[in-house]
Amino acid sequence: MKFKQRVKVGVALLLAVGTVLTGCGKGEEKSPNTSPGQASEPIELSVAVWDIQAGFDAPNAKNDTVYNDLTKKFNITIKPVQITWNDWQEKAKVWAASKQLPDMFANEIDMGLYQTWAKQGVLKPLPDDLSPYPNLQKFMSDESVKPLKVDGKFYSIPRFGSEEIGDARLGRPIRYRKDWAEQAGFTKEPQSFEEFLAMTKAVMKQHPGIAGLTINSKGYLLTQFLGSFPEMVFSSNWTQENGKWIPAFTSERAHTGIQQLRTLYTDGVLDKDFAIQKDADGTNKFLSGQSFALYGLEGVTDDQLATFKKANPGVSASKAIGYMNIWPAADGKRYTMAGAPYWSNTFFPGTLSDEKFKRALQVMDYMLSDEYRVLGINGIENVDYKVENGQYVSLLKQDETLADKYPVTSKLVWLAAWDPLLYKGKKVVSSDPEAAGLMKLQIDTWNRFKQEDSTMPVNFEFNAISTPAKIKFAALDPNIMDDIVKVVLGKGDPIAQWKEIVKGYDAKGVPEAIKEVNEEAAKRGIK
Amino acid sequence: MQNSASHIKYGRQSGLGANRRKWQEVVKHKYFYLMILPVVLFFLIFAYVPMYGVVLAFKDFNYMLGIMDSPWNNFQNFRDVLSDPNFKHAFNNTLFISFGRLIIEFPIPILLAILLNEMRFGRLKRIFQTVFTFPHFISWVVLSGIITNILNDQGVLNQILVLFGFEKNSILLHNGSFLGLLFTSNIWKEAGWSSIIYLAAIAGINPELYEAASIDGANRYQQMKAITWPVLRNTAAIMLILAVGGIMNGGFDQIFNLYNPAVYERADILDTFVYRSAFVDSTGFGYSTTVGLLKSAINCLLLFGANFVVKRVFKEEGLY
Repeated sequence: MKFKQRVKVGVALLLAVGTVLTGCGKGEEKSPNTSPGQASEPIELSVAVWDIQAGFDAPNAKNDTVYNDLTKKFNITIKPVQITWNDWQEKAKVWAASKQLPDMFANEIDMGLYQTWAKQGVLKPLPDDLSPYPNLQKFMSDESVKPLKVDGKFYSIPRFGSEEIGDARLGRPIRYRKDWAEQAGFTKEPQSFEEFLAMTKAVMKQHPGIAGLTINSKGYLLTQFLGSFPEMVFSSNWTQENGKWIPAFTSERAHTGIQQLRTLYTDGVLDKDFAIQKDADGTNKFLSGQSFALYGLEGVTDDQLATFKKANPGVSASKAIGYMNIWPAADGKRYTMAGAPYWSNTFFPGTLSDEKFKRALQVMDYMLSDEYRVLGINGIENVDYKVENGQYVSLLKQDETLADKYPVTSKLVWLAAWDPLLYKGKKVVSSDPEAAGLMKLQIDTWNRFKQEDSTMPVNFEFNAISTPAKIKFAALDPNIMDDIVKVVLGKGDPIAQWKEIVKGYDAKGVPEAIKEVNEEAAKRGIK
Repeated sequence: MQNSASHIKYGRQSGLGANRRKWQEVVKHKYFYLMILPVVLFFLIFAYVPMYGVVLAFKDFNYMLGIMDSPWNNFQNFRDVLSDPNFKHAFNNTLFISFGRLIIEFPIPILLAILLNEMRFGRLKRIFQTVFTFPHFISWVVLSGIITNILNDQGVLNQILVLFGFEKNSILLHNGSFLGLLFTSNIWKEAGWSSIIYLAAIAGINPELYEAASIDGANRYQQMKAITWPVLRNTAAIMLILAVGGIMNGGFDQIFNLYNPAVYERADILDTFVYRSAFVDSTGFGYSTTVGLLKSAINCLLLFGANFVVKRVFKEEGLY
């Protein structure tokens, strides 16, 4: 009995200790046979892209023909490393500190950290000669990627969503319930902020309980500045005033937008919960018929359309939801967002072996090709879609989706680039007439804004300037955004409060950044 | 000479004897020691081993060189932290919120334990105890979602206010009301759980004491004052020392999940500041470790200070 008891206790303790130690141990890394010079050897690449694990966990994952073909083509297997929209940036920093970065990972870090990582060897530089990777070479020769060079080398591949700086013109869209506006007697787009305010208030009167304006996420609040000072659409942007470069938020031209945002809040037009909402809450409110206008929602996904249909039975989404062109700024021009045709990058860890890196670049090059972009987003030609009179027509059965059919590809496709096909007319038109109508409206609006609007000022040569104080300033971006929110929610004179806040940034290195940046701009002859 | 030699011999024998006796005790209670081994290992691995990371506070962290090989930076992190107005702000907020918790939240579990002890019906007492304890098991992530839904513009509270003709209230957006919410929601969540330790102390009181007091004519209040409270005092003193030792913590989970830019001014505590400087502002791990180290050092000093005060001033048993 005593012996049995001892055995039991012993086994229990061994299990407990074993569990603790296993938890602490580093996971055994499967080391693929990657001896140099044997490019045909199978290679495992760990890849982090949003929600990739869900793709691999999907019931149909093994039958993802597009993914299987990709892995066969390059003789690779992909080990998914999960990131979500809630943890992607934190994870990258923790991985970098613990030397556990995946072999390829989509992410975005501020310029200061990017340079630090590049100089410390956390990131692997791209080879100088990119001629073996023609697609990559084409994208990396774009003017907009210049700021990514550190000591003459690139340490990331931008995830292009388009090709030109103006292609992002719908990046800060204003969506509104066109049907409600018409019911309230407003058949034209507002010509000024005051008209927008009057229109929204009139609609709110007819639909008690709704919010006048919601925002997709906090950053979208700055859409307001398109109508007065477009450079402030991003709080870390710089602008030129009287021949001097200054951070846009320090300019007096920002005051109009600040005042307008406060007015929207105090007049009860801006959603009272905008500061405490989670990302996409504002979009969901709009789709659910709980708000009149929305800053955000460039395109409507199938899921979003379903939400709208459920909340607004009998209402045609393509007719009810419109794009509002921003009212003209003081110079009489209507501005749309513009900038680098990418907002994030794909990185490779400095510790990645040359052989793995070469294979990873081959995969990236292919993923950037038109062939893969069409394949990844539209599926297989004549199986999932056909091209008829230049139109991409879906061949999917009812209730069949590409995401269900190719679950891994539906996540992996975003590793190398965003969706550049839509405005090229190469995206499959949905068999659902509402979804097709919404997509047509999106493309038409994009073309309309291209004709009617001006793109906000962008200077890549200036953006490429990198000085210690400028890098430090870039890290203040979240603080500036928080301060704008604080002023919008505040009481008293918003401009006086804003001026006080801007003054506070003097102690955070803004004057040094201005000095350094202007000296460097003068040296480079940037005007 | 002979004496001293025999003394040494005796002393050594005595030392060896003591060691042997200790070892015999260990062997006798080996199962207890084996049972505590995983806990000891847990603390060693997860609490003591990672402590070497505090050297980062004195280094310029290089991602490739790692913690040990990164170069020392001559206290630059400390200079940066101590000259940062945001740190001072977070420091003051932490103190304010923690002292608030000490004054407002600390006595509630004691009162609750005493009140529960005074309940005559055992079943009702158990129901109340379960109801009060349950919220402890809801995580702040879930609870903050519930609280936000109740208190937002379209939430239940505002709907009730509008129904009765009052104006809507944005509790989450105002400094004063937000702090009030921090204290009340934490009391609601944790008071029941924290009262368990006091209830356990009360359970250890010999019932004969109450019977004797009752025969002597003491009423419930007098019994509580003369029997229950003296027993609770020592437990309360220990809990107070621990609470003071954790004063710079402030309650990360709760605040992080509930706060927003509108209330940063009063709600941004050292822990949320450390999180933002490490993961959002990219200030660097050296910087955030420095803030963490300063926080722990102050906590440590406060712990010793509180222990000293409790022992010397209040003449209660301390932690050590």
